[in-house]
Amino acid sequence: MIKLMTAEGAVISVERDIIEQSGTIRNILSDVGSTDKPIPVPNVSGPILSKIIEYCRHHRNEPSRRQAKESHGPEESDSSDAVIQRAIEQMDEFDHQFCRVDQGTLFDIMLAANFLDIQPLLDLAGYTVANMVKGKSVEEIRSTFNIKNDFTPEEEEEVLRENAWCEN
Amino acid sequence: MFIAGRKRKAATGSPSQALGSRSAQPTLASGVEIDRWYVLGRENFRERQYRNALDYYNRAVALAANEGVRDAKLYEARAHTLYKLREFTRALSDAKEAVRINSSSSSGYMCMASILADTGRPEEALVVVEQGLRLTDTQASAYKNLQLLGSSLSLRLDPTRQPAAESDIDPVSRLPVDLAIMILRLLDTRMLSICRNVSARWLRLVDSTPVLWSNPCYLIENPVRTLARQLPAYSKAEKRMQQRHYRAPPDAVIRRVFEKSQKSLITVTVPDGLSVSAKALEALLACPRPHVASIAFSKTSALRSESIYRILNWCLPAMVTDIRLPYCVQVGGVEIDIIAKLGHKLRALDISGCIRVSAKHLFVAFGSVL
Repeated sequence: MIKLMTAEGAVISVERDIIEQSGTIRNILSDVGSTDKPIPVPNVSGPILSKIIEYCRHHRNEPSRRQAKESHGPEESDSSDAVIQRAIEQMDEFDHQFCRVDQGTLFDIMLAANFLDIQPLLDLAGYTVANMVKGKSVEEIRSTFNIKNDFTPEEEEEVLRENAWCEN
Repeated sequence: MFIAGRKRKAATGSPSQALGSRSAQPTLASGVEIDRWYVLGRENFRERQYRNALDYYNRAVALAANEGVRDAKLYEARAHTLYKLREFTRALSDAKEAVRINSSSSSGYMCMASILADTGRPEEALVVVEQGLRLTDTQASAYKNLQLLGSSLSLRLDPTRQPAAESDIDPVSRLPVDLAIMILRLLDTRMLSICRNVSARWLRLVDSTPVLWSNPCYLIENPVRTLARQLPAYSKAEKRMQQRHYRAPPDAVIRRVFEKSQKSLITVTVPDGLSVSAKALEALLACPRPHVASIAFSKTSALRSESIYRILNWCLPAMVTDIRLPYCVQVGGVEIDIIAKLGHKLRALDISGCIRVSAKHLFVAFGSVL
């Protein structure tokens, strides 16, 4: 069992093979060997960490994910097509349910996945956010993400003119 | 042509160079001279070379003071430049001077109020805004800005109303830049253009990230959508997308995409019914060393044969591995010849339905490869 210390200072225990899906933790563990001391994850809060462990637990018996990621060459993993292709192949019903959270939580998950270096989860969350944007109009995007229109009237006129073709 | 070249040089070169060239020229009338410094300053200001702009404006103001000319626009301009350089005290005195010379200088009031608001004196700023709104022309361009600033100031000063907090669910302001870009990369060109319109922050991010434009895709068909179709959770969003009517992007947008993505362009796709104008094509071909890996022209794309030839000629020396020209009736022997000559890395060539290409010609062109 590995102990993790969350942002609030709470300690959460998790099986080693589960949390080793996180590249960051994997590296720490390979550096220090096995340790009884809790590993601090200072920018991940307790609720988010439990979410992430839930995700890792669901995917614990899928070593192919990690290998698939590592076998990607640098130029291939750089293209967004490859990212999407990988995402298509690997998403399942659990993943869709997992992302049915409010935007704030989703961004927290994304930040944590980035920090912990869990690439499939990062892809999943990024893809979910992209889908929130897709097919929406400017106004709909603003209301989805609670964004204030901070253009000056002149700027707004200019971007609107440039964008007349894609507005419906 | 000559003027454009000189302007560019003046804008990027240091002021001292321009000064050197002045001494070589015959003396101009001082009014014209002041104007010249002012115009140079304005150009540098537009290119965000504020230090240079300030230098030019200083010359203009000094010369004007010598000649006893009092022109509000010089002080307005210098105040704005100083404001951009965060030299608030000097900016404020210039803005005050502009307003003193011309009491209906709306941009002078605007500058003064912005400085006061930025230096923690919102009450005074509001007074200036009200004065400006009273005295200036309602048609002036800065008038609307003054109104906006006024309403945001009164909002800030009103203790009963909380200032609008920055949205904590805005992916672009909430997430680090690399993650925000990762999300935006999953969107197609049309969606990106809409994103530019969401807020100033989104606009800045989209416009400053060439990699986003590396796969220009104007079609509704794109990877994200293909993915979306497989997921029950997103079928609703897809239905909404289908109901929308999609138009082809205008030329200016295509040109902008080409210009922005020159270095990172890896796919050139010309979908059905899209015609690329000569200017857009020039923008595309202006990139000296393309990294294009795949080219696809759809059957009804309205490209002329010689345009296709030029595009091939331009990108074939690069590592093009994939060329698709299905049912491009305009493709003939010349194009096949150049593909055979330059396409060393080619792995796939689709010329199905190219009725002007004869089998005999193919054998002649690719004889050595086959």
